[in-house]
Amino acid sequence: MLKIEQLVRKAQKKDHDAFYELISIHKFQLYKIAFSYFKNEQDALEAVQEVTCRAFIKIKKLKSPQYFSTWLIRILLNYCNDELKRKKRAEVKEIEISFEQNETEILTKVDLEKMVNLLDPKYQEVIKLKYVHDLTIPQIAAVVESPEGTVKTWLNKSLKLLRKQMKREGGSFDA
Amino acid sequence: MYEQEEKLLSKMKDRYEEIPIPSHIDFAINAGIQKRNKKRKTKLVFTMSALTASILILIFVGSIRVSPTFAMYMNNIPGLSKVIEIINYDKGLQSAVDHGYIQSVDTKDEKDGMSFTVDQVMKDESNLIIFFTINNIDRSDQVTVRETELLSIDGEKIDASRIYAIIPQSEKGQTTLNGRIDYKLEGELPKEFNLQAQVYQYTSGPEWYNEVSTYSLPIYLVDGKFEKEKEMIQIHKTVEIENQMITFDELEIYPTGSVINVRFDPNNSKKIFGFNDLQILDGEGNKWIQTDKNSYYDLDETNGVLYLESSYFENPEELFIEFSSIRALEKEDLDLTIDLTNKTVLDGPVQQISLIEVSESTLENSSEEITKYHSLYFKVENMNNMRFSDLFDWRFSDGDGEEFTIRAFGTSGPYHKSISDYTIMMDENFDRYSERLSEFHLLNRDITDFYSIEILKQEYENPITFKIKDFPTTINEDFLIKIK
Repeated sequence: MLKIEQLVRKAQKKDHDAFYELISIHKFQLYKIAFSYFKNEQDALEAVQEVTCRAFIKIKKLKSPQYFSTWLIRILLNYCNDELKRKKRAEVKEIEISFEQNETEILTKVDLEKMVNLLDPKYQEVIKLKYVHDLTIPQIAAVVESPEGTVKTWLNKSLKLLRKQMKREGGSFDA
Repeated sequence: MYEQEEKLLSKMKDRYEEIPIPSHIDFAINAGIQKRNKKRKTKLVFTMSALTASILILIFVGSIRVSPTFAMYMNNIPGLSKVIEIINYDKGLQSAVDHGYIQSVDTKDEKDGMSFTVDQVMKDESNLIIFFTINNIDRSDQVTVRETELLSIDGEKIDASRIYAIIPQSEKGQTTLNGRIDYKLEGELPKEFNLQAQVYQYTSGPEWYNEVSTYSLPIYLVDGKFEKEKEMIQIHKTVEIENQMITFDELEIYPTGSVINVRFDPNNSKKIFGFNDLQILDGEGNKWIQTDKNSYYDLDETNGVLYLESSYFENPEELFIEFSSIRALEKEDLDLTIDLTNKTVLDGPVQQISLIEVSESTLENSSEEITKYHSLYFKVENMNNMRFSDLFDWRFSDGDGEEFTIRAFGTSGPYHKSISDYTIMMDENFDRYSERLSEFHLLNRDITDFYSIEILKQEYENPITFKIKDFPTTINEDFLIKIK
């Protein structure tokens, strides 16, 4: 973490190499989050590129280097949300990955993801950040710029909605 | 409470863990950085005067080393602290200041709310160094000094050329600016003279810089302060490096800098561009090197002048000249001739330089005029620390012998597969700062270090010829020559 802060300070002094390293450290995380929004490689890469560009322009204005990671994710989420709106995607494609798993499990998971995608965008966001991208509640609060209490409430409501959905769909809980 | 949901969600996470990360994600990052460069208006901090010599404008960062005597001396003279960071890297100048070889001037001219002060000067038979400060810069402005001139009290131009300057451009919010201007004196400098300095303000308009005001600073040199005469050391030694004969004639040591005069045998098959790691040694571990200022050199076919730090005040008993290698190229390879139609190098140092691609590019200037260019991309072997823009004369000619001007030199960064990291641009008068708003892509190629030359897109009579004025081809041969 300390390393990131040092890199941020260097990058703020126009050290391009430091900036490059900062983005490199976060590139997998950025890509995965972007992928969870767009479900395809091209758009996810596009997102990484655009976020790199925006972060580069704005890094001078970042007041607290220790929040670089959440700051970067916030830029990404803003981009993803705007882009999704712009594209007006009615349907969300399934992610296409092949890995070995039994059929029921796949079904359950696909269903679950579909359900997540049916949630209100802000609930989707917190759910994904918490359960898919492993952010802590304080980190999520920083990313979405809301109090931790609110984040917890949203998470709870999301889970409740998910449970309802699962029951209605008759999905299995015994995964 | 929602353990089951959470469990399911964490499995959803596992799936994302297995998403393959495309290997070209680094391209996306680079492209993001490039894109940002396109959006931003890049200020260039390098200019070249066509008439006399190149003037380096450097912005200094880094730590400041201060010798104890120097620090003590500094405390005695108010305002001198500004000088240290500007001479800190030059051992000879620092030593001169240690020995009190500097005069406070403190002359000021105020115009348009800003004031221009000459704080100190240093002078010897060959050099004049002026330290200045600009105060009261409006916080919303970015200013810099462009042209400067030395005038006698009668307004006559004094015979001197500005060979070096450290003139940063102020950042927004910065209210003072310090810098240094170095002149090489061609004749006697009168005791009283004027420095005229044009202060420019950076604008986003088509002109780049608006002249704000010209400041006039009367400078009076105190009697007896700068009377020290240069020390002349006759060398007259000839060395042979791969059949190239180089004669070291003499070393002139001035209080603010040293000069080595060299001669090259006209029968040499190679043109010699420079000496790498050139330094003067005293045999006791002290050395005087070529600093930024001193890396300005002046070598023609048969004669050369090399500039180094001064050992004047140390006055060592023994002196040696040392260098590790020379940069040289066969005289017949000094023209780089390129067939634009077939995109090939017809003549030149083909072992070291190759043409990767010729393509078209467009550049947009600040007033959004679009200009079309031919971009020539090169790969150069062993560039080391050389600047690509130093390798060629700005003028080139086509097959009819008509002369044109190179418009930009580009250097790709270590990660970048497109150029825009470091580009110098010129207009036809050589003297306007320009900016790059476009990028040149070679994204489909697996080449990271490459260079570009941009010339206007127009009809050229094939082939075109660039003149090489320096090149990183080196002959390694460590020489140590005793001169005193």
